[in-house]
Amino acid sequence: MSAFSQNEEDRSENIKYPLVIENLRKSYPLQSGEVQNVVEVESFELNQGSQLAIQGVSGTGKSTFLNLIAGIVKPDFGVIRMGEIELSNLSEHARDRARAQLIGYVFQNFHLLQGCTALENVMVSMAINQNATRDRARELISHVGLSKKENFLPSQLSIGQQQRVGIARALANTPKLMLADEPTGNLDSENAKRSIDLLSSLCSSNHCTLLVVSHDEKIINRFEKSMHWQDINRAKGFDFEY
Amino acid sequence: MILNINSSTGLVIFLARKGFRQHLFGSLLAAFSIALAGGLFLSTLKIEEQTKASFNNANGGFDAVLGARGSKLQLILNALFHMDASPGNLPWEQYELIKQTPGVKEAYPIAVGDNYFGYRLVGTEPELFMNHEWTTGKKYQLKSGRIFSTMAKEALVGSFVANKLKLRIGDKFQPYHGLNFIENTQHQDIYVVVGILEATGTPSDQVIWVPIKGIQLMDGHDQEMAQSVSAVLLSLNGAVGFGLEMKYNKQGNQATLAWPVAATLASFFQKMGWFRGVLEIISYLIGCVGFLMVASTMRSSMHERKRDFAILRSLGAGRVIVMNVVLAHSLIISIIGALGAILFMKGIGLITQKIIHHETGVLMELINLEAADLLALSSILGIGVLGGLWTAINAYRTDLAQNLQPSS
Repeated sequence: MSAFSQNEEDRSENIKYPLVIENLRKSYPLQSGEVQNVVEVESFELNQGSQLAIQGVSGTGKSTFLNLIAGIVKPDFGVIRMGEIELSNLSEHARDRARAQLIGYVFQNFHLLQGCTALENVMVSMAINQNATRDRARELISHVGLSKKENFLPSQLSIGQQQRVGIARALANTPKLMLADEPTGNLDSENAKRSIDLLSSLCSSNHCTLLVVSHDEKIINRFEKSMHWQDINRAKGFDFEY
Repeated sequence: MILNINSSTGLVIFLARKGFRQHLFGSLLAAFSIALAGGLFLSTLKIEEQTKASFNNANGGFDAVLGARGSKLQLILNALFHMDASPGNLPWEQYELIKQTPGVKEAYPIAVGDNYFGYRLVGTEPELFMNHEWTTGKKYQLKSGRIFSTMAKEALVGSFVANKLKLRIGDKFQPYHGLNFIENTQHQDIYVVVGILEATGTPSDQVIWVPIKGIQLMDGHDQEMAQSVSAVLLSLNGAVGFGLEMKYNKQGNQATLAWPVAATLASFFQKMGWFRGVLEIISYLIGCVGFLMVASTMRSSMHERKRDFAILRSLGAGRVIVMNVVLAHSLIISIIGALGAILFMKGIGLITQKIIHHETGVLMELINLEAADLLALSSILGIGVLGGLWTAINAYRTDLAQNLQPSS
């Protein structure tokens, strides 16, 4: 499959999107002229609707791995496939569209648009996919318990509330795959538990695959399935310190 | 405004508006610079045209002026616009002679040399206010009272003077000698205001009209003045002006015929062309400042907006959308700047109108936008958008991954 076309958008409601990764590699050049391998994944699979937590320390390429899956970063080589769509082989424009339609992304720093209210942050995400409706955005904001604060700017919300807006936004386009990069990194333990449970339950109810990366064992333990990052990534360039 | 943010354009405008609000001070400052430059540029173009047109329309309905030997422009300024000094006097016989010349439709003598608190007393014949059309189809109208009698010490006051000096029918006054008000030069003669003219928007509004015999025979004036006039205002039939110009300017040496009035005024404005050049240069410089202000605002906002753009990209927005958000932000600044430019232009026009009216009595029409100005307005918009172009290109090139700051 070489391009993400309109036909695929139409069929996306009915087909399955298991995530399959083969021989994936991403490296960056160093100032010394050498090349640093960051991600080297031989094989990785995740079935549609499943949830997996990957545990690993900071700075070992987990975010790069998620960015590769999301199409934010292009791999040196290898295959990333969602269902029949080979994400790693798409043009930048097609990757943008695939990201808008198939993938939700929750960031550690929330990455909310500071000039937009909670509701607008959700609506902008939907608008990029050309399906923004105020009612649907309100419904999502309501699901994360922020109905009364939908018109608040991010700066007027607590850290936990901002993360919930981030979750609502990630779910805005009913993604098939949800990526969460240290989603509780900036939250206290109570808010962290709440957020991760919310994310997990909303993904379950939306039949959305969830892939969470975190260094926090307490978070990892809340998932039925978990893996260590060093068991997935074979890149040897890092000096791991566990 | 309700936007359909599901369309690319709607989303871009929505995000650009948000950007404008987030960077309100810088955006407004940039818009103000554009407005100032645009307003100055537009008014420079239009005020000169409007002033020319207004002065040409304010010639009192006369085609030519006959006066003492000297400058045509001085003659016109003195006789029709009641500015500048009189170049000298003409013998009364010259007035009688030209009045009888075939092809001369109307001839009115005027005599100047006195003022009342700086406003000129101009002596003439009462027929000027009965028969003459000061512009096509319009004769002088009385606001109140009547026209002065030929031999009486009576005054017919222009509307502007009446308003400024609060002169009413029946008021008496003693004129001062000379064209400028000097306190201890008051004449003994006492004049009575018998009429006030309706406004015409011409310099005649700034004149106190009296019988010509009154000025000629006023206490303190010499005997020579009693037999002379300052100038003769002429309306001509057909091409008689050519013959008269030949007679007075080329062959004679007694008098000067300022004809045609419009051509003499045009040469005057041509001499003033350097002033427009200076204003144009200033407006171009302010235009450059406006351009730099937009560029600077967009560039300084780019630092924190890089993150916003990366977020948009991470949500699936393409590079073109991000670039267009910056351009749309610049366009919003430019539109506000262009609207401000129109307001500035109107404001400058209004102030200019007041100054010109106060100084000359010529009521310039307010400057308005015309279809031809769309090009200037488009240029203003273009300058603003151009100011954001560099930043927009940078936004297009922004590396998505770098600005999302991977945490692990």
